[in-house]
Amino acid sequence: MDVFMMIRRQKLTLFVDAKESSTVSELKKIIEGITKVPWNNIRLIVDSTKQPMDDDNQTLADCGLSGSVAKAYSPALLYLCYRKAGSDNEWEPIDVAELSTPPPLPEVFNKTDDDKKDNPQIAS
Amino acid sequence: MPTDASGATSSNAYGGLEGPESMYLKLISSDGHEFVVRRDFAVTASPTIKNMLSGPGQYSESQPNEIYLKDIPSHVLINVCRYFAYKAKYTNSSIDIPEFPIDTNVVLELLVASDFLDC
Repeated sequence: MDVFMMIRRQKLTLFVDAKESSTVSELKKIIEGITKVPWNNIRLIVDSTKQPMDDDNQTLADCGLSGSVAKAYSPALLYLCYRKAGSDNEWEPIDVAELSTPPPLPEVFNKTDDDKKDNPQIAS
Repeated sequence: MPTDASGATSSNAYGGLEGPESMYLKLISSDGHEFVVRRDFAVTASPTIKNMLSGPGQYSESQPNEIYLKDIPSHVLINVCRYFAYKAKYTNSSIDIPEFPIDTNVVLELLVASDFLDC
């Protein structure tokens, strides 16, 4: 089964898909291919469980990422952290930039009653 | 010891952002968020993106595989990327196709983006 993931760090979001049976290390290598950060300096944390994916030999299914949970239209969210430069065991904190917010909807959307006159709400 | 003259083997095994046949593309929203998606998903779904990449000459989009979508904000582009994966997965599929969920707040802007991307 394919697992679809959104991997986020600061202003970067990677949409990656992989097999449920692939390992954590393979996923990290895919991320290395894109970000050019060596895969052993990469830490992934599953948002739904808050568990870091530190065992490189586990499969994605073992980490809770299965095809039934991680859909194409609803990918599983993972956070990406890099190892802090110059230290062996310190990782960046999770830091993800907020997305933009949509503008408020015109009132037309709020009504579900029969008031369906075609009011042109164009400011001229 | 293989001499990686073109640097091809190791980087192609896991895909990346380089070269004309890179596995991934980077789409950049108006507010500077970067979204990396599978190249084949984006090109199949959007003729606009396909044309941006394969146009004649050296358009800046084609070289580093980055496309600046300065009219599309990040909260819309993230839905666009979800749609690319959804379309790629369920096109020509024999299983039941689930509905694609869209937040109502985003619908109008998503419509504008889909018109631009022709998908």
